[in-house]
Amino acid sequence: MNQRDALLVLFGVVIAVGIAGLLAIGTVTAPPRGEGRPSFYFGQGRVPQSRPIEFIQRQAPEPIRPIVPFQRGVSDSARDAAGYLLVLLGVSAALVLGREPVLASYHATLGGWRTQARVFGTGLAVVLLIASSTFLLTVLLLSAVSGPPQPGRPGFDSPFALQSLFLQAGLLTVVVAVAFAGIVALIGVAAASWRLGDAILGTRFLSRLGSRVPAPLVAVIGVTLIYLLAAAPAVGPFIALLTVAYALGAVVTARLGHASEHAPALS
Amino acid sequence: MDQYRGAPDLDMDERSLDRVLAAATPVAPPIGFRDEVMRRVRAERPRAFGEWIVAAALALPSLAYLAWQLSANGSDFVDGLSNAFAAAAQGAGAEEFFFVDGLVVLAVALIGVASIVAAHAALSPVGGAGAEPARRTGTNWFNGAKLR
Repeated sequence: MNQRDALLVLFGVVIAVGIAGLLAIGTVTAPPRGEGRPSFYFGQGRVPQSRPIEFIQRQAPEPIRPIVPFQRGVSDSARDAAGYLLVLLGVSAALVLGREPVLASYHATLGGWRTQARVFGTGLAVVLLIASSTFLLTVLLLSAVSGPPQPGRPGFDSPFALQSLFLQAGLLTVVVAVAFAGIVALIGVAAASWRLGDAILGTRFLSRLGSRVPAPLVAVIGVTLIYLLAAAPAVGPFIALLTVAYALGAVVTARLGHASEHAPALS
Repeated sequence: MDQYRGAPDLDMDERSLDRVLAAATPVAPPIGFRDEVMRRVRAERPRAFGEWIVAAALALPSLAYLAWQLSANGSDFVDGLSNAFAAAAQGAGAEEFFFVDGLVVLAVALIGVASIVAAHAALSPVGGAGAEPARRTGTNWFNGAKLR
């Protein structure tokens, strides 16, 4: 373990100890059962109001009183950041558990504007293909199980139970296909985040610092920027769509791009 | 100028070294040589010990906090999930309210992060966190392989 690794471990342990302290303060300042807000609530009644910070500080032991507002702020921020934490976990898991496909996708995105256009165009084609096939499959399923039976239709003369089974199986197929596409997109998003972090840290002002930044941190920087842009009010969904398109394009190019170079022509 | 016949993916400045290395007469290493080298490599680079420390430091307090939450407020979780399933079965309306303690979210997320760090430590063949440092341009941080 070299000095840099030791520093990273030390940094991780310090962060972990800090968060453990916040969790400990959360247990010490937790309200008695039946008072204040519950830890988890879902229902039709309104969520009970939280106890004021000043009240919690008075109840808390003297040494931790100054930290209580900070702990409350972290708690509120963590609740709001659940989506970001989920994306971060997904990208991290893809980087660790799917390293070969991520590396291949990252490799496929290396290059100039021609490569970027190729990856992006491939991804857009895949997105449109998925959207159109999903829509057509849905139309096929719904037309098979609804309306009066007519000759020549898939649901002709089939009993209702069979139609229902057909619909459920079809919807399950769609869900499985979407989940598969989601996993593929997650691998691509991890590669795209890494690539975006590369581009950011490769700028002239950051290049000296960027060469020292570990690659997982580069990917985290990239996915953070993507998440922030995708959460923007007006252009957010558009940026999310572009990101998914680029991600799918990276995976497909990595999977099929090299093979197509050596494959015999179809015609 | 003689034509280069080596690996086609080498840069111009790498070809001279490749010529020198390729000119060396291949000699079979003695039996057990590879095992000895790999033994020394493993001895010099312990298997991601630091990553296990970080994973434990992240996971253990979070697990303890969640265990305390379940023991102290477990019925809140059961009631909330029951209400959520009932609302999903009946068609959830806009009058449903939801709240979760942010520290619970943080603790669960930290357990996920710790799991990923532990998985990386377990899957790394050698080095793990101590493997060749991650490089933005060129070296892959997983196993030190050249990217380009």
